[in-house]
Amino acid sequence: MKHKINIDGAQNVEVSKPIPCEKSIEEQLNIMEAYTKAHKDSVGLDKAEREIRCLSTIFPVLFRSLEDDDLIAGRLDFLPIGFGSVTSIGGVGHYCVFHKLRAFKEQLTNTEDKKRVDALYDYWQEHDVKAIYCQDVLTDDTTGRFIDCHYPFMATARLSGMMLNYKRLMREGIEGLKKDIRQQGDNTFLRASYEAMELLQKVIDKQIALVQDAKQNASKQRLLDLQLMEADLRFIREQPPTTFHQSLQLFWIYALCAGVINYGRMDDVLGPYLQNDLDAGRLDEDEAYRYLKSLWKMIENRRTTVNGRIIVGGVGREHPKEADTLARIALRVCRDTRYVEPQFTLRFSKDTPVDIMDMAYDCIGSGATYPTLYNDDVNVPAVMHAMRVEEAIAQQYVPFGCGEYVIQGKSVGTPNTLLNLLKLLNITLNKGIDPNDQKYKAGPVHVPPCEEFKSFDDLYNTYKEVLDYYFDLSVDAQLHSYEVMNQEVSFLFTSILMDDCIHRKKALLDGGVEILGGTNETYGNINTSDALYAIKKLVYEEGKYTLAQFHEAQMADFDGYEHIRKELLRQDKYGNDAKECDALANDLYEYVAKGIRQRGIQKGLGYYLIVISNNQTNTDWGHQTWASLDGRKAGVFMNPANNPQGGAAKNGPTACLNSLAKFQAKYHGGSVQNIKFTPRMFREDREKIKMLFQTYFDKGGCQLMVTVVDHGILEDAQKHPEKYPDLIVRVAGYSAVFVNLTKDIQDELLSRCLYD
Amino acid sequence: MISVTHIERFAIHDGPGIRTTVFLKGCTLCCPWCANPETQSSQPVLLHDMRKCVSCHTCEQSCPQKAIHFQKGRFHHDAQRCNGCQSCVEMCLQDALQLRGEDMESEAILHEVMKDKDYYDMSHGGVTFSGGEPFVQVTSLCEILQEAKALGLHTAVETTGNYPLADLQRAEPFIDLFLYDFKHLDDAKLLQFTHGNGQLIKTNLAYLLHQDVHKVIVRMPIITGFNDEASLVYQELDYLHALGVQSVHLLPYHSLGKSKAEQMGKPYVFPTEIMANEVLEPYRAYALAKGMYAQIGG
Repeated sequence: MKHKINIDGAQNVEVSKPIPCEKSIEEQLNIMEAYTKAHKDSVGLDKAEREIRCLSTIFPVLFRSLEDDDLIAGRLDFLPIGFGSVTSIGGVGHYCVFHKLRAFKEQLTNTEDKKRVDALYDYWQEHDVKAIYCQDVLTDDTTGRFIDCHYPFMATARLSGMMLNYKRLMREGIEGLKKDIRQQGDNTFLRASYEAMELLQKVIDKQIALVQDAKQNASKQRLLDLQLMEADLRFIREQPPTTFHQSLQLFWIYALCAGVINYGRMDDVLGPYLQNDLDAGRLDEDEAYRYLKSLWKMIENRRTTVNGRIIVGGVGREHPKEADTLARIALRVCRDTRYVEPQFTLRFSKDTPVDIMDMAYDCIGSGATYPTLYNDDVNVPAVMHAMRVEEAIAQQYVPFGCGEYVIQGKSVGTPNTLLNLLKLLNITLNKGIDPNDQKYKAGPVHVPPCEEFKSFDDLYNTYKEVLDYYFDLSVDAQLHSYEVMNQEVSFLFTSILMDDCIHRKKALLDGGVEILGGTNETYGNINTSDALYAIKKLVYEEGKYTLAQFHEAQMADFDGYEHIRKELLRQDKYGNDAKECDALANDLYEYVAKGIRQRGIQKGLGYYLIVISNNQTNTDWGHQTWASLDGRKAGVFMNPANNPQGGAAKNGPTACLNSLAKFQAKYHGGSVQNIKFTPRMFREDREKIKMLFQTYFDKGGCQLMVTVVDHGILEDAQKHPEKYPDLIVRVAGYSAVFVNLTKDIQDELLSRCLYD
Repeated sequence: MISVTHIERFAIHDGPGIRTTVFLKGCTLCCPWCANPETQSSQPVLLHDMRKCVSCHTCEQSCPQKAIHFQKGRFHHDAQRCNGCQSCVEMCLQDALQLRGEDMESEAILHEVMKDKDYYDMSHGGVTFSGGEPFVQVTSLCEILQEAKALGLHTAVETTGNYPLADLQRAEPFIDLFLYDFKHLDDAKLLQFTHGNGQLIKTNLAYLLHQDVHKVIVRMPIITGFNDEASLVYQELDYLHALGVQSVHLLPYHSLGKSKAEQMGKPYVFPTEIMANEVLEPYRAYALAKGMYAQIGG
């Protein structure tokens, strides 16, 4: 039997500090035990039935009291044991976050209580959904858990990026959904789904009670808000919403129960209710602003770091005029709040109103890092090809998390696999052995000593064979994550609002969702192509060095080989609009993107696409990646997302954007481009910057994430963090308060070019 | 061939729109505050950054021409001996050396310039030739300007105007915009500080204005301790207005040339404090009141 793999350890990027649980330690332990008992007692039952029994032990009890200025009810705590979809809050399916459970145990003083925790820990080692998955796929050499950066490949089970069909929720209301479920007939999934809706109503009852609690000692002014909240909760418990506030409330409470942390095109969902209220004089813009600001706060308070996507604008909306009304207010809220979440995103096209684009630039110029900009004119046709879907469906693409696309309400696209392309190149140059730990990691591929590569193509082809092996591992690991999750859970709340689970009478991963896709995060893309380019030029074209000499220097981390390193650094790098170098980068990009995509198609997935999105894994993985032949030293961060390595882009923003625009968007499922300007330049040269961006977008640029920050501010913030509590920066696929980042991540940000 | 110090893409203060600026070698003036002192000489110039140098003498040892030596610990470069082979630059692990000045074919320059054609088209930008004084290489300049026009590029020059009128007449048909420096009204003062011929500069400016007044933007660098006296600036604006100038850029003094001057081993005698834009605001208002277009900064 395979030895037990321990998955204790960090399982997601967590920069924002979570708000502590409101319950006492004893209450928390009791809830975790109740959950565990429900799970144990329901052994042998259908997974849907088991899920609803377990959910009933945490809902509504885990909901916590309102804050004094909340205008929407719904705050939820998380425990180290429970049910969820994603690792950012709680975990996946029936989960135990082991390191958090250990930390919980540390808070206990009583030995008996500690034993109770130990019993939970032991039980969940066998039953945590992710642990079950990890037992199957993790290996000693090739495949590590997310996040364990010693491996060239990481795999995980999670259901990230689900963006639900909230329009259906608004149209039907809870009772309407129940009716629809009932009409489909009877099976365990449908029965459990029906019960889930009843549980949702209990959750609403709990909110009513919490609002009533808040009414005690409330000011006269506050009482008015609380009265509206109570009335609207009572209303949406039975009826589809009719007002903006009701629609916000219903959406929010459902999203919490589903455990989703990305929300999607809320302008098109909520806009009609808003416009209707404004037109009828029930609401003015200031009041709408106040509600939306409250939603922003609720999202921020969930502290999911790399998620919280709200998307406005773009083609394919049912109610563009009404949606734009919401977008305009949201842009004001975003500018004023300066939160790191929601990750506020603007989809735009040639038809986007000029005032919305201008508001977006103003918001970016204020240093909010939002909205991130997505170009529909490029992305819609690209998604049609990448995901093999019709235009009307592609129009519903939404970026989640760090930038992966899904189709709202229709597709699963969770990034459960991650590849380090640079580590794999180093392994190829070193006879299949990872220089970091001396382990052989090339599987069945014959990797000769590097001096036997007689031509660049010899090397490149062997590297591609290694990649192919890892692509195969990836697609199998991605598929297996669905099998394991489907074996254990139904994701009831998510399934109910994903087309077309209810009418197919099947859970999400059981054949219910219309498009079962997936994504693979690739890292070190640009270091790899830059290294390959330097090898091609200096070894195989100019003959200035042998590959063996390079290898020797690389293995020494360039100590004593500084001239070789300087020569490597002097070669053209991606990001400078250098034709040959960019062509090689593009060749590698297409090989990887097509290789992954093709395997997805072959294995019957709706789509399986690479994302060059990046959270901070480029830095974390860089620590465990040896020196590379682009001149990068061992342990140094790798390039962020699809951008050049820090310091490599030296020809200004047009050159950099020209390089970026060369990758065709139709082969990937999301690619992140970061760019940084000083406030002076962004203010004084705004018109020229707008034309810079417009040209890039016209050339095929799919998206941009813009940080506006002053010279020296980031350096000063490293020294005096107390002076910069709200300095927001774009890390790559997410924004963060700079001083909350660890020094290595800060350094990587500092290394990037700042245009002035 | 044209001798170039560097090519700057996304230049947004050297004429309208997004541009690429090509900095050419050689200048007929020698302004001590020059922002690009490495362009003044027609020969390649070796910049040596003392802050990066660790005095390892690798450059000295690697130079086949023996053009580098250290005297009492100080770096010396003999430009007469140097043949521009760049051995020293390549061997310096500290990246303390940069050779500025390279002969390039106009085709190669325009190839680089054309990479941003889409940005020029979007923003009504183009190519700007600067320096140094681009007219020092007037024959090559005319050739590349002609080629640039053939490629549909908007062309601009940043110029001192300090050269024979005949040179100006040769190049003028291929230039869409002159960013024409006007440094001092008093010819004697100009000669003393910059070795420039004020009369020639004024004649050339008058000629250009006569040709097409819309082709000329006069740039007035306001240099602390040289031409920053208020009465002088007003006089100059009166003069330019009388000459028919319609557009003026008032450029506040900055000390960007200091670091490069030091890297060339030259003293930099002007102040390090940069001038605030607000200082120039009265002049801008004055020019506007006269009916000229005026802005602060390029």
